[in-house]
Amino acid sequence: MKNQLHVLRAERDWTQATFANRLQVSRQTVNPIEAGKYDPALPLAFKVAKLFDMTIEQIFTPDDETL
Amino acid sequence: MMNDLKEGAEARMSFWAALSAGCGTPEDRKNQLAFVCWSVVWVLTLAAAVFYLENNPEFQDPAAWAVASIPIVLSIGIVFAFLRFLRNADEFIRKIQIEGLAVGFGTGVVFGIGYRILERVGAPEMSASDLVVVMTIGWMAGQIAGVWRYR
Repeated sequence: MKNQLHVLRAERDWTQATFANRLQVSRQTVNPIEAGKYDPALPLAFKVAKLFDMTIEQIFTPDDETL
Repeated sequence: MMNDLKEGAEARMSFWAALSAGCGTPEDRKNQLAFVCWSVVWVLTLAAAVFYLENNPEFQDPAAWAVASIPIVLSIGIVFAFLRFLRNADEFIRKIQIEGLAVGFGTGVVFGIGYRILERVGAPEMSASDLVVVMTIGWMAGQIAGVWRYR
């Protein structure tokens, strides 16, 4: 799954630690999500979307492997 | 410029940084500490019980049962402390832990059964506590492998 997290985070000048704190998860969790190595479950995906005031589809896009 | 450097460093989160970040949120760390404390108390109680029972062979049965039961009762605390950590951890930490537990359990089952065959051809006899050590090593190796894979 591809995502826009790195860009969205950079726009707000947040570090991964800041982002993790806002999501109430560990930094270790944010890193693989951002790198596209780990796809979050729906509750966390909704939390991310709410944090950026966007929809899940605007942030996460399926890649060829996902479809 | 500084921000770019910081972003670059974050994107290349090292294995050791990922491993140390595995301690998770402050609540995770609190729950992990509770788990470690319960484990330490259990090990000390177990050692004390074994020492006492070995040095008191004439010990009466009901009291011996009581001394031997204390570590077992405390081990329930370890299970609940670990469950609290696992339930409160975020989904990724939980995934790493569950994968680690699967590796540990699988290693224990495969090694435990496999070693019984080796014992028949002359390998030294393995005790139940040896198997626990193997499972624990498997659990830790599974966690490290998980951190490595998603670093």
